This record gives sequence, C-alpha cells and structure tokens, in this order.
Amino acid sequence: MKPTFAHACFVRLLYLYPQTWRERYAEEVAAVLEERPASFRTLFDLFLSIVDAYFHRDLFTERNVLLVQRLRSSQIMIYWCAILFSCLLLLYTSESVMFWDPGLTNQHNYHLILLFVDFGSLVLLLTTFLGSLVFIAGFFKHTVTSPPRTSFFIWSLTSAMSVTALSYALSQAAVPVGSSYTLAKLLTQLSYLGSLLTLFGNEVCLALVFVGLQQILKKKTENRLPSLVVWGVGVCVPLMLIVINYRTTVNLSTAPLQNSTLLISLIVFGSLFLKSQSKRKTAPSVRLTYSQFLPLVLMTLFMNTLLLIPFLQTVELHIHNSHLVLLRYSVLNGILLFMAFLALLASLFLWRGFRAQQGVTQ
Amino acid sequence: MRKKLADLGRFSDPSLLILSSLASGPKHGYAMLQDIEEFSGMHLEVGTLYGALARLEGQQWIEPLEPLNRRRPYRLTALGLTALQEQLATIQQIVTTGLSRLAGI
Repeated sequence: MKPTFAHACFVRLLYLYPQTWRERYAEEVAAVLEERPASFRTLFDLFLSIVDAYFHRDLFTERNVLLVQRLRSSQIMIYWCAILFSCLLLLYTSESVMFWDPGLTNQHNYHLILLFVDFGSLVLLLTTFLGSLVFIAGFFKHTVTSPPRTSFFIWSLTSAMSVTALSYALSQAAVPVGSSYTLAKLLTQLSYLGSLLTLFGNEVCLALVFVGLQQILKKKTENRLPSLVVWGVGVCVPLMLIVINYRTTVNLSTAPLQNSTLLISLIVFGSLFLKSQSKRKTAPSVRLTYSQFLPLVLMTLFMNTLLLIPFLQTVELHIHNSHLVLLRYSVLNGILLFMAFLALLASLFLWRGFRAQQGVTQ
Repeated sequence: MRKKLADLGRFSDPSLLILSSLASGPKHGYAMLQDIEEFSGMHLEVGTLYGALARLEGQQWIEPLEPLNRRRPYRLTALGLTALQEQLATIQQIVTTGLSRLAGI
C-alpha cells in the first residue's frame, strides 16, 4: 500500500512514545501503519497506546547504550561550543583596549562585538546546560526504575497545577492597571503566559528530581553517595530558574522575565533536539556505567551551575548598559572563558574515556 | 504465581487472538492483524496489537525473532502454548455449558 500524508502523520505520532518504546517497536509499528488504511479509529487507538506506554514503562527496558549516546552527543556539543566561545572571546579581548578609551571607541564595532560575545556566552551556556539536562534525564530515568509510579504522577501533576495556578494569580496582580496600550498589555500577558509554561515545565522537572532522590534514598541505585552528589548539583539549576522566575514575576519586571522565558524555552527545545539526535545506533556491545563517568559528569554539572550566575549577571548588565559596568562585563566574560576551558577539558576527558571503553568492549 | 491471560486486563482478548494466530507459526505484526481478521472477523488496531505484544513478551509467552526488512516476526514459546491451551480449555467449558443450557430452554 502506498503511504499517504495521513500515514506520514501517524508515523510522526510515534515520536510521542517513550524513547525505550520507540527503540524497541517504532520501526515495525511504522511498517504496519504504512500498510493499513489510515482512519480515526487508528488515530484514537494510537493515542490510547501512547498513554498506556507512559504508564507501563517497566514493560520496556532501556539499554545502557542510550545513556552513552546522550552523554556523547551532549559532550560533543559542549566541546564545539567551547571552541566557538573561545574564538569570540579572543576577538573581544583583542579589541578591548579600545573599548575603555572613550576617544577611540567605535560604537558600531563595539556593539557588534558585544553582540557576538553575548551570543557566544548564550550558546555556551545553553549547550552545557541542556547537555546536563539530557544527562540528568538519563540519570533519573535510570534511578527511577520501579513503583510507586502512581504517586509520582499524582505528585507531579498536583504540584505543577498548584504552582501554575499560584503564578497565574501573581501575574494577574502584576499587570499594570489602567494601561492604555493594548499591545503592551498583550505582550505582557504573553510574557506571563510564557513564564507560566516555563514554571509548569520546571515543576514537572523538579517532581522528577525529587522522585529521583526518593529512589536514591531507598537504595534503588548502586552508587548511593555519588548519586546523591550528582542529584544535589543537578537540582540547583532548575531550582535557581524557578526562583528567578518567581522573583521577576513578583517584581513586575518583564524584561528579565522574557529573557528567562526565552532562555528556558530554548533549553527545552534544545534538549528535545539533542534527545532526537541521540537516537543514532551504536554498537550494542558497548557497556558503560554511570560511575565510570562520574567525576567528569560532576565537573560538567558543577560548571553548568557556575555558568548560570555570570550569564544572568551579564544579561542584567546588558539591559542596564552603562559604561561604569563595562569593566565588570569584561571580568564576567573572563570567568566565562575559564568555564569554557573547563568544559573543553571535561569533554576531552569524557571523549577519551568513551573511546577507551569502546576499544575494550568491541 | 503464574499469570493467566485474564490478568492482562483490557489486553486479554487481543492477547488471546495473538496467541491463537501465532499457534499456526511465527508471524510479524501485519500478518498477525490479517490472520486475526480472517479467523475471527475482529479488527485489531496497531496500538492495541503492540500493547498486547509487549505484555506477552513480558510474560515470555511469545519471543521476537530477527527482523526482516523492518518487520519483526514473533513466535509462541512453550509457556505461551500452555497459557493458550488453558485459556481455550476455559472457553471450551463456557461454550459447552452455555450451549447445553440453551438446548434446555
């Protein structure tokens, strides 16, 4: 039977299944779907099946190789972004003498280079951050291996809904009363909506993170202490984002809120992109454990947390854009360069470890 | 404790159909759907089929074979054969009882 547009849509729906399910069944299900006439009944049945797959994840076991794929793809991203960022910062520092002399400053070049450095910082931050998100997702998928799943779903759903409702109430109170600019009001509302969605996503992540802690404490993972340390570092990032969102919402400051929303949206989409990239096949004989990569992963996570602080400060300074703070701006970028160097080092170590492991097992 | 087909909840009926289909030899997903439609007149959907297959694999009542061009055949295991025999015997008993009672009306 010749596949139609509807068949193509059905096959796209398979991406909504959990990754472990997709790895095991997606290809054969796609083949069957393409041979049968597309109908609403099939569509409805697929949706039910997707829900069922999420509630019965224990039916499909994740192969260790998937974790390796996630680690590898995210670390390669870190590696390249660190190089990009270093190049941009070198460009910036080579022109920096001119920046501090008001007589020689070329405003046009200055803003251009500043833009590049901003972009470099953002790319570096995003890639390292989402790289760690992918790792954290893999880690907690690994640790959350057994029931109680029902309590997890109820907990995350209730918590997400309550926080969303609370933040909505806050945002309503924050809208300027009597504003005559409809567009401005609309934009404000949109930014609040974005922040609400972000908060929702963060809450779900946090729910997952706390279930992960619960599982670690119940000794459902082999390396309890290292797992706790990774958890502790990993939890800082989403927690910090939530705090920042709350603060900006309450302070009626929409610009950082929009930046934060944009940042987190990029992170979420980036994570999804990386996850889709990690589907590439690797030799099934590759066997790796988390503990083998623990020191490097710890380093990356720690670095990500540190990176977030100068980045947010940089954004804030950029908003104020006063000459007095430009020196600090330079120092902050120096810190970013150091962090980029750490990212590079961590990536190289991880890559070497992965290659060595591959050599042993193949 | 060994599970029975009835323990699979809403997947017990599709599972029975799948096991019955595989009783005649290994088949891939599409072949199973066609065979089930032929011998029972029931139209199984793909999502339900693979939900049931995952459960049957979990119970080790069926096992996957090497895939051929994106199609992976499945075959019945010894455990699956026993489960199918037990379930069919139960159904046979229900049919016999029902028919004899109908004859008495």
